[in-house]
Amino acid sequence: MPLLTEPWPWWLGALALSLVSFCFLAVARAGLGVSGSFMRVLFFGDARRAEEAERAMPDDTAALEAALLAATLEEFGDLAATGDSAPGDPASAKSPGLRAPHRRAPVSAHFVFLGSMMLGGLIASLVAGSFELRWSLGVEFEAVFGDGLASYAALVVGGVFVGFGTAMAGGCTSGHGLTGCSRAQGGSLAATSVFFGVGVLVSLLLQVVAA
Amino acid sequence: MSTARIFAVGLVGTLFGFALSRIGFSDWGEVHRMFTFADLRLTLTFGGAVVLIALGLLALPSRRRRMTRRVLHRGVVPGAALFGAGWAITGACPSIALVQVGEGMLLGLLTLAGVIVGTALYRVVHRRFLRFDDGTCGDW
Repeated sequence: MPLLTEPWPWWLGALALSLVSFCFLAVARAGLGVSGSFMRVLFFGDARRAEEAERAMPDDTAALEAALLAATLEEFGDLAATGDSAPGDPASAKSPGLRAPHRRAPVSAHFVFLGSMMLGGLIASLVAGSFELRWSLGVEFEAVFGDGLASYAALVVGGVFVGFGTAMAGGCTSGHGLTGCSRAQGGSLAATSVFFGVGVLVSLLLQVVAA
Repeated sequence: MSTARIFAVGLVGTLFGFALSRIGFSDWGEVHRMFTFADLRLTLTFGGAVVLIALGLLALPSRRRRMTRRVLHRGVVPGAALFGAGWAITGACPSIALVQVGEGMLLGLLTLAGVIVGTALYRVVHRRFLRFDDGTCGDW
């Protein structure tokens, strides 16, 4: 069946990726973002502490609101801006309202997600008949980097760029590209333009180097 | 989160890895052709996905859209530039490194190792030196 052996036409790939995005949203109750998942999994201690704090938060938001308002007034006194109350009059201060806290997806979910992506790749390649344990990324990669130690170093360094860069930017192709751009988020539109643009520049450079 | 839900997340992840592999995002040559505009298929796939997601989101009530605020903070442009360079070199973004390994391309492990080191390194660097506001209150 060509669908399992031939590369997918663009519209099928687009459909599949968007479907994945919505399924993730429905199931994990969070926006898709792989670099974020990596960060949460690597520093699972932080995520666990945040989950515990969330569990300890009262579902009754009225009590939480009252406590936050009291703390705000204590900290800022008559500087606290409280909407329609008279400025400088803390006695008439009102809270602007609080939504129920968002329950985050636990670290285990992110870990399972990352691992299952690897499984997806395995299944796809088995089904396409292309699965093979090999120390190669293909002829095009080798045309640029060769197949020796230098190519290995390039991958590690490149990987560090990817890890550091996505963490610094706050997202990757799934986080900024798919999730952020589709929601017209400014940071994502900027990030996607830049990482794609630099990808183009560096690739053109590598093409020259290979020649 | 219930075990059933976590299992469902695993199913979605498997579908994601499967799709990325079938599309060809895990193929270094295909990604290189995307970046050099030799072949527009991957670019159209990506753009098409963004459009479809945007359209689908319009059908959802606003509270279900999970509008995570992604602000253009000081790290966005330099970080994205670094990421783009790394992507061109390795042919991989964080997702793809995982898919490559799944497909048997063991060199993906080197990329993966780099991604892990880079991610961890950033957290240290950000907390110690680059302490700018990224709109998340450090909640990554």
